[in-house]
Parts: sequence; C-alpha cells; structure tokens
Amino acid sequence: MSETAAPRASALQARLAELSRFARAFRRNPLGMVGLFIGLLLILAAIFAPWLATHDPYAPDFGGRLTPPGAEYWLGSDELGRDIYTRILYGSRITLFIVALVIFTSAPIGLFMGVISGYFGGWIDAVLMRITDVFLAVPKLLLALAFVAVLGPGIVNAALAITLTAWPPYARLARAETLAVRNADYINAIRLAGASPIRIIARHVVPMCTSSMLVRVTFDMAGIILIAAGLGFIGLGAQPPLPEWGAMIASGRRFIFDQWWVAAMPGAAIFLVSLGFNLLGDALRDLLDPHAVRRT
Amino acid sequence: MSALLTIEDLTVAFPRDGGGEELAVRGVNLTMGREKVGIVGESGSGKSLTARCILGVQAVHARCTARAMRFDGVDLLTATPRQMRSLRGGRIGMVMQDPRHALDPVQRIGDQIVEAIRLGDRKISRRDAWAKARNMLESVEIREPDRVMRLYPHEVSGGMGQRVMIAIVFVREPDLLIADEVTSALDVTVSARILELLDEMVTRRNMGLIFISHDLNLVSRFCDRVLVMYAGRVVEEIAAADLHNAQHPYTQGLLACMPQIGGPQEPLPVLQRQESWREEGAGA
Amino acid sequence: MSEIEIEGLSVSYGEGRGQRQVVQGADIAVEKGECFGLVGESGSGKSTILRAAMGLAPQWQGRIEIAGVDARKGPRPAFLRKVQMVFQDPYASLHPRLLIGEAIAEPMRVNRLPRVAERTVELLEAIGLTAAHRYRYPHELSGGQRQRVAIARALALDPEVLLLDEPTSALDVSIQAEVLNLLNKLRAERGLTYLIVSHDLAVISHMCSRLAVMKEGRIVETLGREELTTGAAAEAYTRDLIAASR
Ligand SMILES: Nc1ncnc2c1ncn2[C@@H]1O[C@H](COP(=O)(O)OP(=O)(O)OP(=O)(O)O)[C@@H](O)[C@H]1O
Ligand SMILES: Nc1ncnc2c1ncn2[C@@H]1O[C@H](COP(=O)(O)OP(=O)(O)OP(=O)(O)O)[C@@H](O)[C@H]1O
Ligand SMILES: [Mg+2]
Ligand SMILES: [Mg+2]
Repeated sequence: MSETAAPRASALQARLAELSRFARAFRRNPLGMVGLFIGLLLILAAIFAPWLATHDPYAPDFGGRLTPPGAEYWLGSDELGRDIYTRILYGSRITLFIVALVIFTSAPIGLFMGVISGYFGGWIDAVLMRITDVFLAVPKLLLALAFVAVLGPGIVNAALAITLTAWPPYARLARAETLAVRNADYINAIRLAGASPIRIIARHVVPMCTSSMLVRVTFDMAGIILIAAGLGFIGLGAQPPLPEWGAMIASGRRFIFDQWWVAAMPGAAIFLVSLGFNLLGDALRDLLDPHAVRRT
Repeated sequence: MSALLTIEDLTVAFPRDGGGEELAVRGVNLTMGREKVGIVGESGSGKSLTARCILGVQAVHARCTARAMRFDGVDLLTATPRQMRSLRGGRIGMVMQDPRHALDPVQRIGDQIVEAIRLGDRKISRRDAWAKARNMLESVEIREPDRVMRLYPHEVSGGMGQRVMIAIVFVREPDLLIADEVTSALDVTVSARILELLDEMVTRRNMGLIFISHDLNLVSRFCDRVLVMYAGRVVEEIAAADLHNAQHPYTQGLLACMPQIGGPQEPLPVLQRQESWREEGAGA
Repeated sequence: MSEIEIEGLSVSYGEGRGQRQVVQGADIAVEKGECFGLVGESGSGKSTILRAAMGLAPQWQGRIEIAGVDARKGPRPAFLRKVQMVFQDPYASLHPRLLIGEAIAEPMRVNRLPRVAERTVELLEAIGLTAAHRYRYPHELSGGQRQRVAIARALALDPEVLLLDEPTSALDVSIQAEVLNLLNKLRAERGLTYLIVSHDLAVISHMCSRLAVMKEGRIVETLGREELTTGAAAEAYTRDLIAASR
C-alpha cells in the first residue's frame, strides 16, 4: 500500500484531488481540449455578446445590404444590412439557452424514470419502459415538429419539444446503469443499514449513473443544437428577427449562390459548436467509461 | 527454450495527489517460455498491475513503460490498439481478479461464454457454441451447467463466478494464460480440479501460464518457479519446490502468517515490513 | 437459548417453473460469544444462508432468530441493529463514489445515531486505520484495508452478531493474518458472536470452536475443532476436504 504525499484534511480536499486527477488525465487528450475550448468560447460569446459585438443585431441598414466579409462587416451582412458576426454572437445566447433548457429538463426526467424502473423492476419497470418505448418509436424530429405545430412556434416551445424527444434515451441509459448496480454488494450493505429505497436511490444509485449520463449529455448537446437549428430553419423555432442560427441560414438560402456568407457563416457556427461537443464527449467517454482502456 | 514472453524493466507510475508520480511497479523483468510461473506477494505489491500491463488494460491514468515487452515475436510496446485487441482474449487470455466486475452484469452467463467462443471462431453455429460453452462449464466443475447458463452474474456464487471467468478464457485456448487469483474463492476440492485442468492445458496445448496467487502452499506445489514481489519489485525468484526454504525475510514472513489446521488459536504473527526491502532484491 | 438459531431453513430462488431450492433444511445454533464456521463446496449455499438471515434472499421457510429477534416477525430496524454482515468481496462491497468516512457514517446517519463524526474516527482506529483515511476513496485502499473498512461499517451500528462471508478469501496471507487478529480482538472486546463462511479450513480452525460442512444445499455434518484437527469426521466428503487442505 502506498501512502499519498500528504494526508487529506477534509472531504472537500478529497473531491478536489479527484477532480485534479481527472483534469490532468483530460489534459492529455488534445482533441478533448479543442472541444472544451469551443464549448468555453460559446459560453464566453454568449456572456459578453454586447461587448464583443460591432453593430446592433436588429437595426436594419439598407445601405449596407448583403455586403461581403470585410473591414466593416467582419463576416458580411445579411439582406437587411445587419452584421452577421454580431448576430452570430447574440445567436449563441439563444443556442445556449435552448441547450440548457433541454438538458436541465430532459436529463432529470430521464434519470428519474430510468432509475425508478431499474431499481424496482417488475410492473413499475414494465409500465415506465413501455412509455419510454412509445416516445422512442416516433422519429425525433417528427415528434418535435408535431409538438411545435400544436403549441405554436417559439424558442421555449422548441426547447420543450426537443425535451420530449430527448429524455427517453436517458431513461434507457439510467435504467441500464441501475440494473448493473442494484444487486451490487455495496447497495446491499446500505440496505442492511436499514435505509429506505428513496435514500438508496438518491444517495447511492444516482451517483453511479452520473458519469455515463454526463458523457451522453455532452454528445447530445451537438444533436440538440442541430435540431434547434432545424426547427429554426423551417420556421418553427425562434422567430425573426431573433438571430437564431438556423433561422439565419433559412433567410440566407435565397442568396446561397451569390451571397454565400449569409447562410455559410451561421452554418459554420453550428458546425463548429456541434463538433466541439462531439470532441468533448469523446474525451469524456475515454475517461469516464469504465470499459474503455488505453495504453500510453 | 524460446521465450514466449519477455519483459524488461517494466515500470508503472500513477499521478500522485499533490503532483508528481508514484511508482507502483518498479523495474520488473520476466522471461518465460511455456511453463508455469507463479507470482506471489502481499496486497498492493503490483502483481495484478504487471499482468494488466502485459495486456495493455491498465487504468487510463496509469503510465506503463518498459525497455522491452515482447510476446512470441510481437512487440507489445509498439502494437496497434487493434493488434492488442486481437491478442487479448485470443492468444493471451487473462482471468481477472474480480470476476464479478469483469462479467457484464446485465448479460446472461451463457451468452457471455458463447460470445467469447464466437469471437474466436466466427464460423461456429450458435448452437454448437452453446453446447461447447455448456461442456466448458461442466469441466470447471459447475453443477447443473444448463441452469447456470441462464443465470445473470449476480445470481451465481462467488466461486461459480470465478469459474465462469475461467471458462470464458479457456474456450479461446490462449497461448499464454494469466490467472489472477483464480482459486481464491474456491474450496480445496474444486480448486484442485481447476488446477488439474490448467496443468492439462499447459502440457497438452503447450501453453505458458502466469499464476498470481496469495496461497503460497498452492503456488509452491503447482508452479515451476515463483517470483516474490514487494512494493512493485521482484525481491526473490526461486524454484517453486524450494519456496519453503526461501531466503528473503519477506518471503519467510509471508509463510509464517498462515494459520494451520489444528494450530494454536493465538494471534497470528503479522508481517514486520522493513524499509530496506523496498530497494534491495533480485533483478532476475 | 442460543444467540443464533436457524431451524429447518430452506431457501429458493426464482419463481414458477424456474424456481429452485438452493438450501434445504439447514439447522445451525451458535452460542453467545462463540465463533461458528460454515464450510463446504463452492455453490453449496453458504452465502445464501447468510443472505436469507439478513433478508437479502426473500424466499425462505423455517425459523431464524438472532440475538432474540425473529428475522421474519421481529421489527426490522431492531434486527439490523443487532446483526450485521460483511460481504465476500471487498472490491464490490464499498460504494466507489463514497469516501471511506461517508461509507462508515452512512449506517449511523440512516439510524439517526448521535456523535457520527467521533464514532467514525473511533471505528477507523479500532480497525487499525487512521482518521485521515476518512477522506480516501475505496480505490485508494488495498484489498485488506477495504475489508477492514467493511468490518468497521458493519460495526457502526454496534451489533451483537456478525455474519462474515469469506472475510479473508480475497486477501493475501499477511493481511489475512491482520484481519483475523482484528476479528478475534473485536470479539473478545465486544463479546461478539460470529458466523464465518470460509472455504479455508485453516482459517476456520484458527477462528472457530465448531463448524458445519455443507454440500449441495444441505448441512451434512457439524463437528468440533478437535475432529477437524484429527480428521475424525463421519462424512466422506468432510474427510476429503480435510485431507486436501493439509
Ligand atoms: N487505478 C489505480 N490508481 C492508483 N493507484 C493504483 C491503481 N491501481 C493500482 N494502484 C496501485 O498500484 C499498486 C499495485 O496494485 P496491484 O493491483 O497490482 O496489487 P496486487 O499485487 O495485485 O494486490 P492484491 O493482492 O491486493 O490484488 C497498489 O499500491 C495500488 O494502490
Ligand atoms: N439471485 C439468485 N438467483 C438464482 N440463483 C441464485 C441466486 N443467488 C444464488 N443462487 C444460486 O444459489 C446457489 C448457492 O449460492 P451461494 O452463493 O449460496 O453459494 P456459496 O456456498 O456461497 O458458494 P461460494 O463458496 O462459491 O461463494 C448457487 O447455485 C447459485 O447459483
Ligand atoms: Mg491483484
Ligand atoms: Mg459465497
């Protein structure tokens, strides 16, 4: 047994040590770092959009319509003469908002459904999983479309629609993880302490699901961005004049051959961000997935 | 004797809390042919870690380095992940120490063995594979193999899980088998049968065997030679039959800790570890 | 009245056509302060008896009474305060995401006991670790240290009886010696009663005064330490076991 350098003096220190070990391992993955960088860039862009912007994102300027990228409009201007760079910056807020809304609703719902059905099994499992199957059986975009068609277009509705399609895979994942741990001796040991099922689930089963959930969520962020942009593109997500990336592409598609930048710039932003989350997800999976092994 | 496995100067390091690294395996050398090599040593001495590095399945943050590491002409240090994957489970088999972790908790025992068989022999039909799996379970002394094939890992006893792991590796008929504490949960009669089976594979298939165990009596009866590890280093290498006359105080200490049938019920002597053992030792 | 009384215990798993009895009519009686061994073939149902006693194997018939509390009819919290179990595999019995201190404190928290923090440190010291080990994760401990933590966790509720499932089979001999010495010391200090499952007759001989031998779900024989030493067993299977252990 090897003693660690200095004994730890608090639980916080132990958690930090674990975190720093994780961070050190993460740093060894260059693509993961690129993903993390892109993710941070998105967050910073969203926070500091007003300071980084060069123009007003909404005010039309008919004199400067459809100007190619240059000194005045860094990424060009659109058909109303609005600066595309500025609009992409502000658009990152919408993107981030949708992603956060979807994740913070769908992940807990899925986690809850999956953990409950995995832990209790029997008819509870049967009922919850049939519900999940129904949602899984309908194609994602179709379900989202139908939902938005009923509720009406808008950012929040788009996010809710995506949530509706995003939680079932989380439920599946959480259930699988729960099945794998529910008979483990460490869970039995807690049962023998006399703990209630609620306590066992909340304090002992859920923490075992978090790392695979985290990996999955990261990968899904890329997908959510694409679906949100898709809804914006067909006019069911964010409404003009909001600078949502998908909607910006939609308005630019009329000029795609002559003024390519109008559609290409927001397209590049979508591509970059979803690539970033994929890279990040890959790196996290390498680190957190217990089945993945690697030789250095 | 042509070397089946050559390891020179194997070192494994883990990042330490406050920065820097901690060496868990320090300069292990091993050259073996088709023989039975035992590795003994106390918990944490680096036995499993050495084995894991041979297969390239150490933890992600472990840094594994060696001057040379070859298996039957294949350089394990420069092998691609793909080559390593095909070696693992194919020509090199490892029975892990913690059977219940190594088995997939949500897949039936039978399916897991069948999967292993079909990975090795893609042409075999599902039905033949099933029959083969069943026979293998029978030969590792599992009663009612048909029932056990349909169970999930948490539904079998500790010793049965261990034997299922052995069966999974045996069906692939490896050239080198690393057995990490494979009999630790088995009673003496079943364990004797498993050892017979191992012995038979070593002679019939001309296999190499690395047998990691903390049961010194067993290792001295079963293996050809023994490496004794302490704090990541090989401190003594000795012919298995001579284990009871071991020179190193650490080995002697290990032998003295064992209770005996009919022995006195007084506190057992415990190992008094000496700082000097960490550094000295046979490089072998 | 004995401290552990198990009478006519039969345990089965599965239901309908798949149902199977894995323990049949087992009788065990252990006196207060005694250490009783349970040995036998792998898969013969040793762990199952312990699990049934602890309520982890739901389908059983017969009578189990430990420390005066009936396992079926008695109040469950009271039962768990008197009886605890240590599991077979120290690598699987500690929650990977809980710090050692949290794992030991958890049973006390669940039962709303006072002085949790102080008691955790006392327990760690009782098993030969230090207060600093509270802030370690299980994967930062050796197998022997983990098994000692599992013992500390079982002691957290101050039980009178410990059921130990292969407490040292995953440990090397030097740590086995430490754990066995620790168990003996705790038994002497706290007047505990042990029911130990092991496949190692030498361990049983070192710890126990009596033992039962199991084969295919039945207890085939109960014998004392002397018979184990001399090999004077009635059953052929027991004699084989003893002979093979020499
Ligand atoms: N993932 C890990 N992270 C940090 N340290 C580790 C890790 N795995 C192993 N170690 C350290 O490496 C050393 C050797 O571990 P190893 O598992 O090889 O021991 P062992 O000889 O197999 O012991 P045992 O008999 O208990 O199985 C130990 O000191 C352990 O603390
Ligand atoms: N949850 C379960 N469902 C179905 N069968 C089970 C379950 N748990 C145990 N069994 C069966 O009960 C039998 C006895 O298992 P048990 O774990 O009691 O054996 P054991 O005597 O402890 O063996 P070992 O020494 O190998 O640990 C085995 O045949 C096993 O397959
Ligand atoms: Mg090991
Ligand atoms: Mg058992």
